[in-house]
Amino acid sequence: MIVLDEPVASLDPLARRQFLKELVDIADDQKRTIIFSTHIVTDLERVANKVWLLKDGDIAVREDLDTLKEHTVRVKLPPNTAIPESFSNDSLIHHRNEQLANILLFTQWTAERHQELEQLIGEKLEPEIFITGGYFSGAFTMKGVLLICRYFLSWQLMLRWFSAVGLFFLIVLPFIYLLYFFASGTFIFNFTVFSPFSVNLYAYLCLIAFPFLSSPLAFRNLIANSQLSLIPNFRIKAGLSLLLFTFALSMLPLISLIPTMNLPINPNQIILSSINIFCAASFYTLLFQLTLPSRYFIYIVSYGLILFVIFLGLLGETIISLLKEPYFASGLALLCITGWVVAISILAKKKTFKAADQSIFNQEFLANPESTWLNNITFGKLNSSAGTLLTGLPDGLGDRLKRAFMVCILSPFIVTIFLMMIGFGRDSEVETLPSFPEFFLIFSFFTVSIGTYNFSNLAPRSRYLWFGVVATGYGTGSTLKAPCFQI
Amino acid sequence: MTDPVISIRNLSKSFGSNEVLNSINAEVPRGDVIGLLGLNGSGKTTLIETLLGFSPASDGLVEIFGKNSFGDIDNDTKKCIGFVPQSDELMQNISVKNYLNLIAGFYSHWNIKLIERLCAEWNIPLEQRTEKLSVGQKQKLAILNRSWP
Repeated sequence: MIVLDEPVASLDPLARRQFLKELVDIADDQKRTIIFSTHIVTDLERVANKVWLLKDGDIAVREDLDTLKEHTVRVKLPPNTAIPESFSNDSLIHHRNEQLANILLFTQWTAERHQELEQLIGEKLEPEIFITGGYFSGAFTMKGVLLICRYFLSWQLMLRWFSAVGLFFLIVLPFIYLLYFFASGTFIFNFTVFSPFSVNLYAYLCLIAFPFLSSPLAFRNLIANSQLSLIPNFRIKAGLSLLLFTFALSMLPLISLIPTMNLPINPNQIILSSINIFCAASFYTLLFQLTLPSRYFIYIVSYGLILFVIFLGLLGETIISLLKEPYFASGLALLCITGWVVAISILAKKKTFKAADQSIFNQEFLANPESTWLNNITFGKLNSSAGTLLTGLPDGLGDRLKRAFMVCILSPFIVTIFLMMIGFGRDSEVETLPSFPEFFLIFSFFTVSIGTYNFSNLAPRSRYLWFGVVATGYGTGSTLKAPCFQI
Repeated sequence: MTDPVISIRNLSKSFGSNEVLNSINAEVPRGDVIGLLGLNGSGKTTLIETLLGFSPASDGLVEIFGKNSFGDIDNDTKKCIGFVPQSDELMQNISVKNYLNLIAGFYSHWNIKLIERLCAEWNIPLEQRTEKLSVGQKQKLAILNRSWP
């Protein structure tokens, strides 16, 4: 726990920002509690996820930052109008008189309260919503439009939408396949245990289930993710959001076209591939949102790399013949993934193993034999013993080495095998049931992924690193393959 | 995970007839980052000081890690708490480097790497004597000479 009383009051902006960055890093793992008082509201937004506002000896406001922003309004009463006495002023946090007009600042503002106040006053009111750095009401000015864009296209809101749309697609995708089947009248899927289509489906399901299984805390993050507002530059934020948003929107109408398309060059394949990519991309967004609270630059880099790899994959359609050479393909995949892992490893900051983790492991894991293995697979409860278990390296070797082994050698290797299994570099016409080694590999794939995810408690960034690896593998594989779309 | 790190119960604090904190109830779960806002004199510093048990509450109770913050906190718990005050009295006639070394001696888990890195990033002159630092540099040093977990 860290308590700071106006820590940045006399620092210059540069040092302030550096200091806040350190603070964010410290708060990053969600295990430490920080309380700090400040007068600089933008700092608050960068670091805090909750706000307490002291007034008249009491905590007048005590809310999540997001909630606070959404439900705080400024109401300007008509001139010479007093606040109606019957209107409860519980959530009134500020009252100012300006040119005979009362200006009131309310939190916990709802549509009902709005109606109530309008009825009491007998005039129409236009409450202004609070947007970072100011209040805003004029919706039809250029500035207004920009501000609305800034609000609705804010990184975090955007991510939520994008993730939601992605999840929606993931859920309806099987139905799209079916729809296509009924519309075209041809049965194009081979529902064998290990047909590419079913593997795709497994991958989707696993990707959906994976975070649920791994970390309840991550889901708490998803719900209360305010740390994403850390991206300092509004232009970057708005630009990227807009880009993603446009991309998402442009994909939507394509679905309705799928069953009717019947052109010689067969755009179905491309369209369905695009949807596939979109689903995958949305899912990466979700995963990154879950796993990457503050390191926005890695965010952007990872996202860019994933898209790059996926588009490489699309490009690969034209050089598919080359990629059909199994050794070339898997070698390339290994190279791509290892390169990426190395690149991100360089960006990621290393954290040292703490003795506290050891004691948590001893107390909560070893001392509770009745607790199940799955219950213990949560953040912050597994330690280097788990690393030993998963990598097979001896106990004394040190966590960093094990971690490095896990993310740099074991994971890419397994992903590559996985890629080869889902048909990357394999003739897609060939349908075989998986052999025992393949089953074994799938099994270890998930064991390792769950392990890495928790192992990452020691190095917060390797958890999304793993997700990234899985995502890239999955995206590349499914895109290059697109086997179920061969019509 | 489920126990709150801090729980504040009916905390009141007054200086004579001036009531600064009036029966505050709050809980802080682990992992929260809380920004404390308020006008000058609204009681931010008082809340923090009472919270940490530097001064007794007029009424009510604060528990940090389940222990009464006024008097009950043992050394192990203290190691888990870092506090940066608003203004800090630095020792004089000593170089920054020696000062930090001196402070480090008081803590069993001094994060020397972090401190060294921050000193470099924040341009704190290590050989300078503490009284010759600027106000901002003093503040930086005051931030550094806490035990950072």
